[in-house]
Amino acid sequence: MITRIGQLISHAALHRPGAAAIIEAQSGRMTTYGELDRKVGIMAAYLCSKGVVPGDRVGLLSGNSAGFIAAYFAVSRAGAVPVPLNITLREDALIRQAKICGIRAIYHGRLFADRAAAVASAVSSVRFLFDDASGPRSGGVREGGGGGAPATIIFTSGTKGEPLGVMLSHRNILSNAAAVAAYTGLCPSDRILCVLPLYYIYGLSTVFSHFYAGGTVIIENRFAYPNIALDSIERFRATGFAGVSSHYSILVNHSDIRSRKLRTLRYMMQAGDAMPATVTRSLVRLLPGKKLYLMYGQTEAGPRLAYLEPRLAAAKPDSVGKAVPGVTIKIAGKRGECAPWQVGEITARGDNIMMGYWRNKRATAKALKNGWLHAGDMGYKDDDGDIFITGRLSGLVKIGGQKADPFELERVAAEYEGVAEAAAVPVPDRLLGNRLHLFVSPVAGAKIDGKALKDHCVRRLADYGRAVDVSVRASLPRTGCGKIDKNTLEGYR
Amino acid sequence: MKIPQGSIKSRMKDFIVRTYLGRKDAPLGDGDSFLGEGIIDSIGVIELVAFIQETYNIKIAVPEIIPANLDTLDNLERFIIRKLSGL
Repeated sequence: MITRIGQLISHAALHRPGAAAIIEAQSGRMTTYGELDRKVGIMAAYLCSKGVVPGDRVGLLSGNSAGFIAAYFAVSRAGAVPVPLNITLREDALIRQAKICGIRAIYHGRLFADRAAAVASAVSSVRFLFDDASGPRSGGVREGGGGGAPATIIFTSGTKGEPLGVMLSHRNILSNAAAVAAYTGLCPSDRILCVLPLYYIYGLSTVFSHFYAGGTVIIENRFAYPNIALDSIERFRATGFAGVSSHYSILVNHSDIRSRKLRTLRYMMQAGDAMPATVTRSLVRLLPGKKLYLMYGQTEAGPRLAYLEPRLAAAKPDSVGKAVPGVTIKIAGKRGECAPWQVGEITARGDNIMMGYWRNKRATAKALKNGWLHAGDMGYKDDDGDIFITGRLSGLVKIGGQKADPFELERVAAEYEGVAEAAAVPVPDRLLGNRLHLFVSPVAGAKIDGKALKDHCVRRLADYGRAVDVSVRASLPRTGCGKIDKNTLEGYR
Repeated sequence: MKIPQGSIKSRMKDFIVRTYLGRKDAPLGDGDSFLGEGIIDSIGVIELVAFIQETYNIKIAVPEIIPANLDTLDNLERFIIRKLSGL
């Protein structure tokens, strides 16, 4: 019985050592389960020889690669806790996360040696950096866990820009991988084209679920050119594809998907944000016979909470369906569970629900109440029990599948010289789902260059800073009680 | 449409460093791969295509969205000159 995520590889290596675990599409290089198991063992031994002990946190700063996956599982096999770091974050945000976790070592990809070194020099707990060339060293691997340590920590955004380290246990991850494998019918011949970043749980979960089934992960880092990704589906006989709504919007509107047969493709997974119904219906029409899974989840649930039966995708494109196997979802109102069509907060219970946030009891207590995860999303169930998401409680906005915080943008804008007030409002966007429109007013006598202010924001925010538009106004509208009137600002766009 | 020598490259460079690197003085060589260096992602390429279409009033077809046309400043310059020449 598999009880630790590292066993996903050792189990497959034992039974099917020659089967492909990873294919890197750009080079065509394949890594078998046997080879991956050996790499993981060598790197884990190296980590132990460098003094890493069970429970230590080890950061991973890299784009998607076979090396990243090997390092992730090596950290786990050494009994330590892998902490994937978002490569689009600015240096100060990476340093903040590394400090919160007390990271002991950092694995880095080829392009990230300098940034890893900068983090290491600013965070005293970091003892060493390593990469694909590190090791081997003598010494064995201390198998087993680090007491109550999590299997992994994945950072997500809380309100007001607060980074929250979601702690997921081995049971959390494995139960969710089993659920995904069950409802999508994954088997060893399945091959997923992985274009999602592995520093997010959605990308990682496709690795877990396909390794759980003994399948193959095809790493494709060139989705910027969507026809190349379609070529890779055909060349490597991919059976699956997973993306956020912007991936599908790009495929429908900016690729030659209409002229492709994609004969081997069996399933497509969408999650991370709400997909426009027009895109869903286009996909169903363009790729008849392929199963499209519209899904819902969050990092705190490892991540999958619900999915819509593919046969309902065209009829109910705005629904995320029902709870995945092993999960119970209730819509919570002020007086208990809501009746059908009544809007309340999405709450969930199951083996996949996180242990809590790393060293943040206050945020954990807010999210986990009596064993139920309070997802922070509002929604309702219809008469069939299918769930519809209507909005977020926290005020966070999804841009290209990533959480963005209008408050953080306002704070960063307010640091810019000459800004008296700043207010950010979400704006619907066909490709990204949302953009943020920033309104600022200057202090008396100051002049603000909107373009320069945007540069300032891009430099200080994660990737979503690009999706910011700026307007400078002499003053910002007020509500009766003196607050900035965001409803009126939305009308200014 | 007559374009001064070098102006396409400098305009594209200005757009890319401002939009994706966040500062004017970011190092970006004429032959650096946007994809290989992790500068640009899928949304970025769509934004880049929209910017080129709007700036030079040209239409870029889906089969033209390939690295050989868009993935370096050198490639961008060659591609835009070719499009403006109507080739």
